[in-house]
Amino acid sequence: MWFVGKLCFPHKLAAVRHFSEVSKFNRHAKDWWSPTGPVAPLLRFNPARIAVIRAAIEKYSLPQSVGKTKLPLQGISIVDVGCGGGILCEPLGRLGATVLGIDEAEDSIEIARKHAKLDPFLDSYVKYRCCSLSELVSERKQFDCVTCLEVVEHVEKPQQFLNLLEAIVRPQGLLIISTINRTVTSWLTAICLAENVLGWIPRGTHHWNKLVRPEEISFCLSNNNEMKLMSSVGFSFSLFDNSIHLTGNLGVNYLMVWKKVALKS
Amino acid sequence: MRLQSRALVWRAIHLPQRRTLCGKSKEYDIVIVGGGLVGASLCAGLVQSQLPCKIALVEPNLQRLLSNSKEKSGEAVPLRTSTINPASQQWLKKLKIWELLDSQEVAAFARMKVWDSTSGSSLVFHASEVGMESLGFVVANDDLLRGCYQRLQRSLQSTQSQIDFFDSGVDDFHWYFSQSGFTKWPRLVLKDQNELHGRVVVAADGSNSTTRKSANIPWFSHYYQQRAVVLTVRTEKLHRTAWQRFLSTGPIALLPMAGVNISNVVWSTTELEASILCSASKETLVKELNNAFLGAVNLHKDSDTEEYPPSISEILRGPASFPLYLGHASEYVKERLVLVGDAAHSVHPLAGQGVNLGFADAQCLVELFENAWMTGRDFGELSLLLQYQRKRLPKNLLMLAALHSLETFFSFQFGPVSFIRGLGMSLLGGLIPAKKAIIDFASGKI
Repeated sequence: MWFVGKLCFPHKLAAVRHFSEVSKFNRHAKDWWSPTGPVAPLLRFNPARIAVIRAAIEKYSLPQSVGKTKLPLQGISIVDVGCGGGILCEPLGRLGATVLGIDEAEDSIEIARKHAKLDPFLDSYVKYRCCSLSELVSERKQFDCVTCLEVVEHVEKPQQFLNLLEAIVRPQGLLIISTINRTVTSWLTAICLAENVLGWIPRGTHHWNKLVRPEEISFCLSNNNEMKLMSSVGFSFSLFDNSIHLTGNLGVNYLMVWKKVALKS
Repeated sequence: MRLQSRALVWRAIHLPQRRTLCGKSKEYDIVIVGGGLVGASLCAGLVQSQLPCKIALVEPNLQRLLSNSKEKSGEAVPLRTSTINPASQQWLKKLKIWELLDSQEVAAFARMKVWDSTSGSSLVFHASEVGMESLGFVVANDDLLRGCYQRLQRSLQSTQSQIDFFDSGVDDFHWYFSQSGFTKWPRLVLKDQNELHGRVVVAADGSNSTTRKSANIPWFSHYYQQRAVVLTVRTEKLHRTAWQRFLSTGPIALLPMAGVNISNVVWSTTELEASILCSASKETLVKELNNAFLGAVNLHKDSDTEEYPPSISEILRGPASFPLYLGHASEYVKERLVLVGDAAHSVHPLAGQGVNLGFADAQCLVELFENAWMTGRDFGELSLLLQYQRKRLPKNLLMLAALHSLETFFSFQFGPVSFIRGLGMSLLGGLIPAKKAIIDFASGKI
């Protein structure tokens, strides 16, 4: 279990959220929706991710009451932790979910609010709040579905962070996490190629040794048998036609769907 | 049924007008500007896909189109027709518009003959050669439009989509293009003072699209110095072949229509000849037409009907004429704007491809919106709309170039060129795979 030590030990002395990481995202806040900016690759991943999330919610968590005339995710409450400019919240809101996006980067939240205002439909479906995850936990808020995409690799204490995420999932609810695996391929593609060679994302966005392996997430979440891994899927990017495909290979970018099966006594 | 549909028409037209009194601006997911064949079929496609979105259809002649019943158009034979290729027919069948067409006004042709006045060589396409039932259908435009609007009205109650009809033109467009992904919804001020905000605006308002002009999308255009003269004629015999002859002044086509020996003539010719033809007496016109199709051939009553078109006996409707342009927009999409049909591309009518390209655009757009909706995407997002451009622009451009080359190639009168042309046509006539490729291309399969 060497990786667990690696996961937990170096960050023991650091604060829960590292200031420089928040300011890094504040700096890029205005580019969240730019189709040519540093976040553009994330925007490209978005439709595939929404498809997976929607399918996961419909398969594992959807209440029986959902009728045919409503929107597909009508009545589902979702919190997106680390929502950035709201690029995940808006499509989920359009599918009918009641979405709360939280982020610690104040500028990102401002951008997210500004962008959501462009679409009058989203008004009643998407809300944003600038706060930390621990604030939601202390308020004892719980949601049908918690999404946390591309965030775990940026936090200082992943284990503590994952346990906080678990706390805001309501019983029978879903926790959806996506991040980048710590493998040789991910170092070659997500860091060398995407940051240094192609320049799609700004240099220094990801630190290889802070990336998280699926086993590590499983270890952190399954210590009290509350969470059950429902499925995991990898994403691959085709350089030929700039398209995103789903794959069984979790080597680079992957997404995990967890379900809170047991009630906490 | 008739009464019910009248009531619907009334409601559809008068509801928005009544709402004007509030003067409140309205928000729509999709605003379609232009309710011609492409706009109306796009609207029908969106309604059929059951997307729970709000659609606005803006068309200045809406009242006439919605109430365009058979009785009103009278007994007169139609003048303007469209050649529907098999791909478009499939789509119209899927939209359940095809079944609403007056079956009498749908004429299929299984054979096409192209020949040349100078070299005398010809080329014959048979649907049976390539395993198809027909090469195309000649349908009256009015009939097609009536079918589209009937379908729209019938599906109004059973759909999740909400459609509002606006019987008005657009007075002013306000676009807010930006590069940062923060593009405000465009605002359309209608002539009847309504104000529409659209997530995405679809411009289906023809080759003179005001929508395209307002968005400053450059338009490349070339005037052929030609006009197309259209007529509906009666032939002496029944025929089921699309005839096309390339004269020194341009191509002339005889297309079989539904009805007793009725055919449509599209004659592309010089401006001068067009004006002479349009002012000629009916007797002279019949003579001119027969001369154009048959030339010096003396057609006997018992001569081979496969070889030459039947002679024309009577002018039933027309002539009318319109100028021939080739045109293409430099881009089909901007953020929150899409061009479809003739607003994006206009082609020479010599192969009857114009409306087919438009239907293919509309079909592509409906599929795109269906997929986008599945993942909650914003319909106006540039990266989404670019997918439409990537799919449609190369195909449309290829057809545009092919038709233009064909037109140019056949307009050469220089001896050697016309010799090569004749040789090429004779060679092609024996090459079934090559003919199949041409037919597939014209049928919208590629």
